[in-house]
Amino acid sequence: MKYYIVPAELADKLKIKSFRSGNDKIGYLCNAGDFATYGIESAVAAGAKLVTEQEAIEFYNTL
Amino acid sequence: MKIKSTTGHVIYRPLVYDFNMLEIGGSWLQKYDVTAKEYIPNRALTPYVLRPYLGVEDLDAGVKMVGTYALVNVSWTVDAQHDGIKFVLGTDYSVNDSTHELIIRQNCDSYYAGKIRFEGEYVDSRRGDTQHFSWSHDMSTVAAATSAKMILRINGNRQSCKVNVYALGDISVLTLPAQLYAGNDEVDATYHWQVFDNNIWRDINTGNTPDLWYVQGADDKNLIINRAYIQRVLFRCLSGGQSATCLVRRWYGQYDADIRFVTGKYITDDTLKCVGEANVTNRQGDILDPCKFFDIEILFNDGTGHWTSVSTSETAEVNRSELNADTTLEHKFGLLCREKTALLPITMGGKPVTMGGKFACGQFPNTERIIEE
Repeated sequence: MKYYIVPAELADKLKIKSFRSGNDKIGYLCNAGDFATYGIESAVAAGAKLVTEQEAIEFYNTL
Repeated sequence: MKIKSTTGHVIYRPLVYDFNMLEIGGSWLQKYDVTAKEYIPNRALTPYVLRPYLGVEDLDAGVKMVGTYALVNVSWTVDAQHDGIKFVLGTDYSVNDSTHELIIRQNCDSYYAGKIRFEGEYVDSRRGDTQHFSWSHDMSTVAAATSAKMILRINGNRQSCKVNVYALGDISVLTLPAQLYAGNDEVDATYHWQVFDNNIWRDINTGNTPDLWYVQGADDKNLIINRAYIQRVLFRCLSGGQSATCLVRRWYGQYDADIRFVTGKYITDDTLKCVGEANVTNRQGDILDPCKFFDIEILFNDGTGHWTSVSTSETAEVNRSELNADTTLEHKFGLLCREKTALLPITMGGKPVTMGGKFACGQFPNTERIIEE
């Protein structure tokens, strides 16, 4: 499973802010499944950053 | 005088309900990669969310309402466990009081058949009716190996490899590293080493004779063995449902053994003895102390055709008294140079011999003693 950190604007578009970890300052942690309708390439173009699971855990722990 | 009355009724048509449960950010089915020991997705990082959807349509008023906030008596029941411990509300899952969303932040054990159940009601205040909604679903985790092709490598080689233990070189320990890959990625996995013996694969140190070459790592990714005890051993490593083999054998490389006369090649009146000297050479030159690596035997033939063993070291002396005086006969030195095996356990009646609590070992010529020119 691929994990991404997306900026707040993209999280708004994806409507994931209510259930994904993160905040508007550092972004939101989501997985590739959250881009099902938006498209991964579009998400990456909109600022989604691919992270490893370990990096995702570190991100989660900083919250 | 009493009035007479007649009662009228307000009749509302029943509301039309549309109830659904929306899966958001995941699925009731989760995967567990037994090789990488990862949940896919990891719900601790990206939770699984179930959101009730309720559409209510008032046909009389022509009003359609969508939302779950009007639901009452909502309850979620989550029967799942992680590491054998049941999910706990507030820790492993939570419920949004306004939207009634269920948020699961924990991974479900693959061997546990979980269940999620939702109950909720909507009260039609016009008619005083209460509409009950329920929904339930299994929640399970499928354990599987990584979908990428699994490859097990020993010493960087796929499936099989050969390692030569140079008999004339370093005789310290040797490490055989194994690594399981999913595609090109290294996988954190468990490893188990076996050895081929008597036409079967067996665990290390479970044979009739001790595996004296074993140092450590029978259940580790790195198997450490002692070169001094390796003659020819076929290893197998098992990991993640894959196996790879590695043949480790004692190897001498290219060499040449020869014998020459030091004295006595030509016998005259004052010749007291014949001295022969064996030497073994390889590409680096003369091998120092060849008896350490080779079983050397020097033989002498006085010209009558009969070979006599005269030495088991690098030099041999034959006194004049043993030489034939017949000038028509040619005397010869012969050399029998055989490779020595690794240190092998000495057995008696099929059982290993011990001395002072330790296994007795020996090095033996690895070919037959054939004396012919």
